[in-house]
Amino acid sequence: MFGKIVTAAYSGIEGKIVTVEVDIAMGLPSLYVVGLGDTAIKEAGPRVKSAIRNSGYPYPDRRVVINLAPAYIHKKGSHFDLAMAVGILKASGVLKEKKGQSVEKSGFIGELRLNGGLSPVKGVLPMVRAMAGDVKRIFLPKENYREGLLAEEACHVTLVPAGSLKEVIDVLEGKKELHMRKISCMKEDVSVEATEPAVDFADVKGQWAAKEAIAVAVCGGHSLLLIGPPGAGKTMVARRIPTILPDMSPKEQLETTMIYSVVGLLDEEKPLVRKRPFCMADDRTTRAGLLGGGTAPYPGLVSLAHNGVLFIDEFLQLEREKIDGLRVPMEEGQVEMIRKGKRYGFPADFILIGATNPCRCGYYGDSRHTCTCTKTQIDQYQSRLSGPVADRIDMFLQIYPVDFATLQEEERGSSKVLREKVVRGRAMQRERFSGSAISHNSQMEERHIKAFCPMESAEVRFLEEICRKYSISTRRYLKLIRVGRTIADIEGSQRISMGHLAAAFRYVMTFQDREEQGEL
Amino acid sequence: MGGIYTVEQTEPAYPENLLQVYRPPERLYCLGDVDLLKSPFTTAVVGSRKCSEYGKQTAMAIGKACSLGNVTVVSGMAKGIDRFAHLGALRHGGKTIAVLGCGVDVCYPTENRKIYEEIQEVGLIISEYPPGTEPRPYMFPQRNRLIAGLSQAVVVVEAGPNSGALITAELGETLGKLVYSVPGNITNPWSLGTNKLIADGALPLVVIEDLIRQLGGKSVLNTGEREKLSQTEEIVLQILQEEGEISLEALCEKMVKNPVEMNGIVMILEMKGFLTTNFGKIFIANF
Repeated sequence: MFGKIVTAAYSGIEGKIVTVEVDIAMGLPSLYVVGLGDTAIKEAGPRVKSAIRNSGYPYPDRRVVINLAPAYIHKKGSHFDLAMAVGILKASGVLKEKKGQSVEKSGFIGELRLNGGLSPVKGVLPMVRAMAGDVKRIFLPKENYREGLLAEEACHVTLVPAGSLKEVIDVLEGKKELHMRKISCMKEDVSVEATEPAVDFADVKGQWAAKEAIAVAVCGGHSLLLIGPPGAGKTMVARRIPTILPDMSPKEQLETTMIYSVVGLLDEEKPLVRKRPFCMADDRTTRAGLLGGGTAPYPGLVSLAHNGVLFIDEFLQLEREKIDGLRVPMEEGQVEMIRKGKRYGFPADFILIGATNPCRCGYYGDSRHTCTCTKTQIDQYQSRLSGPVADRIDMFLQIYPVDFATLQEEERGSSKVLREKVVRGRAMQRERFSGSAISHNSQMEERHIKAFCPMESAEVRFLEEICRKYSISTRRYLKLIRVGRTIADIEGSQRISMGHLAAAFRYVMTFQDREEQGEL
Repeated sequence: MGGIYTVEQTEPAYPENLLQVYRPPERLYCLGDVDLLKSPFTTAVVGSRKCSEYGKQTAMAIGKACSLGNVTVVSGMAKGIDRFAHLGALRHGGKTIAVLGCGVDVCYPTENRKIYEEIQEVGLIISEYPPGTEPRPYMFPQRNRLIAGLSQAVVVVEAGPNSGALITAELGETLGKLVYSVPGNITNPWSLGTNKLIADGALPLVVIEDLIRQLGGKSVLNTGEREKLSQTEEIVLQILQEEGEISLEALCEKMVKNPVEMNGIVMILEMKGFLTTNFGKIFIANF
């Protein structure tokens, strides 16, 4: 006796159709699961057996073999339970399908509890997308229903939310109509969250320059490093970054939701990630936690911050290998891992905002504390800011504690005002890059710069003077123009003026460049 | 670049000044213009490695005034004040002598390589240690006696309470040289040593020209000719002249301008050499 059931697996954020084949043959009662499953799959046997019995169906006293085809791909997760159970019931002849409710045309996702109930699982969104072309209906845990609806492909299939194995069987046998309402392609019923953010840039007194620099960074997608002693307000300004992030496009929302789906971080009621993610890491975050890892890879913070902002505190304390690891995601917008010859890719297109102390003790340049480092220690600490680190960062900003007089002054730069600037600059970029593969100024290559950054002779002369005086590298020169482009965009100016370039140059200069000023 | 010369104690090129120091070196290793050992007017400009923007600017201003007044600047080519003193002189075509605490062919600290090469070209590098000697901590206080010995005056620009520059000042005092100390804010930790020196009887360096005149060099006051600036730039400079130093935020408040735009204006003025920035503050450039 043989049964064949459709379900799916996911690796990275890609779903793939998997067929569960069940064969029941003469022999001592036993259960074998084959097809490169992980431990959760190996343990599925006893779970499925109890769930079937406790749902009131007989479990065959025979030799049961379950194959997860194709057998060569690695599978993980507990969501194969439901497909296995339905397969066993079909192969043993317990399941009497109602005409037109054929099991073959259905897909199944869900983890079984011992009492026959269905538990929510991870990765529903990519799996629904993978199955949608091959089946007419997909049974899934009711907690994952809304997540499943997010898939554009869900228009072509009916999603059937179920609470238990019995409900699934009842529907297949035609004993019960679950509300198989075919919700017109998602979205409308996902209520808009209009929660007022708890923080605002207006709370930060002083630090006007830092706020404006953050707006520039967020607008053009430039990475930014804040350098300042403890108490300057680095973390305080960083925590307010989410308040000025622009809205996500539907495409971006779905991309980010896919990543949160495979790590099981989606909200049951409002699964769509509508706000740009803001993730925080520091020097204690492990390499795998930052970049992703594991034998069956899971995404790291760089991916969880996809289409959003990744804030890394104590940036200069990070080990070299972590900083080096940021190179690929920052250049290519995705991370790739290879396990047992298979590639796993996660999107990782984020804006990096870092914060660091200026020296080991932290107080170099702080007028209120005495720095206890020697000049050599300071030089050593700041030399970490060269080479690979400096290459990762587009903009540098020194920030210092504000004095009491500034605390009394009226606030400058509220989240509302800053966000308007970001949105205005983004609109200019959208128009500029429509039809090209890039979307932010920070992604411009030389040919884009040639096309999109027209400059008049005065500006060209100014750039030449900068190059002559400060001997900056080509990489930094390109960063200078990209940041200048963003500053012009925020002002709504098509032309990049000398003032824009000068302001941009102040941001792209590193400690080392500043030291160079002291040269001959 | 010429090779390394040696000047023996017995030779006429050996500066007489040095015979007065404790254990005068038998032989000096020289790289560069040996005639500078016989400069008519010399002053040591020394200070701590870690310095404030004020110290940096003062050191460079003294270097500049010396070069205009035909006074040779003697210093130790260390990080911080020493470096800026040399730099101030070099930038204005002045003469300068670097006394190293290692062999003359060893560039220490390495970040001063550009200055090291420049001094070889137009100034003089000397050491009592044979070529190839690597620097050791005890050598620096020893070479300080040469710095003091070679100069008519010792100027301490900035020094913390334990700075080696204070050793040079003390050596200068015992040799009967003029010891000047640059007064600083009493809240500035880097001026603690220099202010203490004044309390102990060193001459406060109130105006740089005093030093030049005292040594016998010609004092040249800055003639007020400068590049033409835009109206906004003039206003910024005026504010800076009144305030001395100011944060970008405060400047934005005064000018009612956005920080990004202000950043651009400040950058252009910095490139033109009218101001400098450090530790988040903007300073008027005095050199």
